[in-house]
Amino acid sequence: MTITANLKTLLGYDVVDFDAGEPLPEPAREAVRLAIGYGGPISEFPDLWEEFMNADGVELTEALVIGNWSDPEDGALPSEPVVELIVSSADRLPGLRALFFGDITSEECEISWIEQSDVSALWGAFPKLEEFGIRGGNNLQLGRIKHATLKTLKVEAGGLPGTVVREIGAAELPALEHLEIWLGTSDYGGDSEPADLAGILDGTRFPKLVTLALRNCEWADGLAAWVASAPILARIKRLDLSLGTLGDIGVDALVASPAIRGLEHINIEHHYVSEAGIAKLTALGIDVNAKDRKEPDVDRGEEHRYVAVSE
Amino acid sequence: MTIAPQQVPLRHQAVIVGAAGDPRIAGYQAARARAGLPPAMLLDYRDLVADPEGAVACITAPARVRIESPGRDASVLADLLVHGIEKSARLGLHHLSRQQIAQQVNERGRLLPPRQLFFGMESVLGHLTRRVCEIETPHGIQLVPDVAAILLAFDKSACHDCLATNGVPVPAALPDISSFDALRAAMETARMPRVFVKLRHGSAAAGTVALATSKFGMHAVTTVEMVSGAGGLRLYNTRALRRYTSPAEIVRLIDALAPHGLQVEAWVPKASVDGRVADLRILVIAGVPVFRVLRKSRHPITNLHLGGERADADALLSRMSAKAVAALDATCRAVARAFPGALQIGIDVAVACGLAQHYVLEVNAFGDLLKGVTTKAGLDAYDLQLRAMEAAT
Repeated sequence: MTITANLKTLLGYDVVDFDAGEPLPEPAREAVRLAIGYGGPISEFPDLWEEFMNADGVELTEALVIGNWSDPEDGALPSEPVVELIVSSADRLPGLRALFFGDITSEECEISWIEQSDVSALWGAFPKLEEFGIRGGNNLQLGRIKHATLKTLKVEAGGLPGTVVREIGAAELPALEHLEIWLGTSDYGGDSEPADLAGILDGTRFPKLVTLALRNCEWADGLAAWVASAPILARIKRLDLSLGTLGDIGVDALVASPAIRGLEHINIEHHYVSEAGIAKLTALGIDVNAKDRKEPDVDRGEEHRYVAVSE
Repeated sequence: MTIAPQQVPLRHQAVIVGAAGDPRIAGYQAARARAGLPPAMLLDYRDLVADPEGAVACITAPARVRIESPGRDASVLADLLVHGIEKSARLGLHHLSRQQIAQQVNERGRLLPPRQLFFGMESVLGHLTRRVCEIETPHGIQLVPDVAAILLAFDKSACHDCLATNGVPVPAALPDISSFDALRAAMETARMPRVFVKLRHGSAAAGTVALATSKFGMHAVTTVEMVSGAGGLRLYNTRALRRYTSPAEIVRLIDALAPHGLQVEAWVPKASVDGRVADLRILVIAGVPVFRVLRKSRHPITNLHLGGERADADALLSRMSAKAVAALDATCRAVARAFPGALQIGIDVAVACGLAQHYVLEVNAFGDLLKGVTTKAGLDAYDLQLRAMEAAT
């Protein structure tokens, strides 16, 4: 599977494209999406950004989606100049509450080829931010994450470096309710290990956390075992291990944990769990999403499981 | 509408050239019955390819001859390939011998050389054109579509250039690619990191590769399955799309396809609809776009037989600006003008990310088989074509 959908909503608002020269979408009802369209009149992101900055009512923007920022002729460009533009214009976006950075489909650029950069300047630039999402793990740095109001943090990648996972684990996000991380595969730079997750799993860092989503993980059985014995499990209501390679071993670890019964919902969609394994989960009496069961590929007697989103 | 080289009077012989059993024939005959017309005489491709000259002799003026797809019957394909040997050999192009044809046509999924098939069609349909010319009477034989229109639609390079000349937006193309190395060099020079590699005379996405490159590597999504064996590499069409990421495999794939003749175009990133990659099939009849069908897919190759789903085109059109929709309409009319010898033409259009631009990807001479698609009044593509013919005479 690859990313074939654009973001439909952000902060509960419908996402609407901004076209240069056209009025801005309704800021109180709609999220603005800025993207370089193929063959369109604007091929450079700074030009599009300038049009946006000059549009009437830009300062009312609450939810902003950054789509493809590269001219198709250039292939994927690093996000660094885009981050600089956004940060340097922060005073023109005083009410920004949500930002998704990298709403790019596989038609434009595969998730693993998106070139991110150090985005840490965003934390200080937008003090009212409640939701932040980003796609693409290459060269991604979140830096020292400190934010008083951020409730939702999503990091989507085909392979997320362990360094980024550690940055999240060291974050100061007292308001965080929803944490979603796509760990991805080692083929595309996803080199995280259990130790990288320690900061997240110890449960003290995010006092308001409700949902922990550790998705698209290549070592999901091991991950499930770590989560099962982690203090965080007792503090959350929703656990999401979907899009990964979860099998019976991981499920056995989860059901053996007393804390799992405190959950309201567990999502393992896209998994390798047997019928019996799924029965064990449903027997817990909590809401389970076990859609999209996969069969491993068998090549020369060896089983291969795949995450949902890699390339 | 200018489809008739000659006026055909109302009382004429109605002929349909097609493959017996093809739903296209049934669809057309049913429409004739609804219109109170007798069934058209079927000139089966099996007879046409076996003895083209003899078969066309049964057409007598005045007549109107509807030409349909030859279908997928192995014996017809084999004969078409045989008819394509002479020209392939004369031009020194890669082709199958009679013996190889006999071996390969019955092999499930085997990729048959599309250029040789095209030459075979050109040769066989040429007999129909000659029959038209033989009977030079004021009320002669009308071919619908004419052979030139069919051949133009089946030659992607010629079609691309013809459309571009007629002001139709088409993806930029890289001409004369004969190998993977040539492809990489051309992509570099043209600053085209993502391309669609198609067989110049291919159909139904056979031999199509969506190739993306970046400094991180290469991905190819394709309908081609490569099988190595004693006789070398063999190519098969597969409905389960393959994804190749190893450069060595991609080199092998492109180098194996190249001798068949390639048409390489920029990969236009298609707008997404309901979380799927989507493009449009628009059927134009007598110059007017009448049906618009959306094809949604999880893959960059959206053909319905490859898992694409048909959906309501409004899901895409309603998100486009009025200006963009009007431009799309104008494009369809321009395509029809580039095919004056065709009564109907099926146009595959990509609406690019951003929804402002669109590009014509393919033109299908036999693109009017749209099961279950009708106007509000319940008329299908065949009803509309019969009406258009009537209006023209």
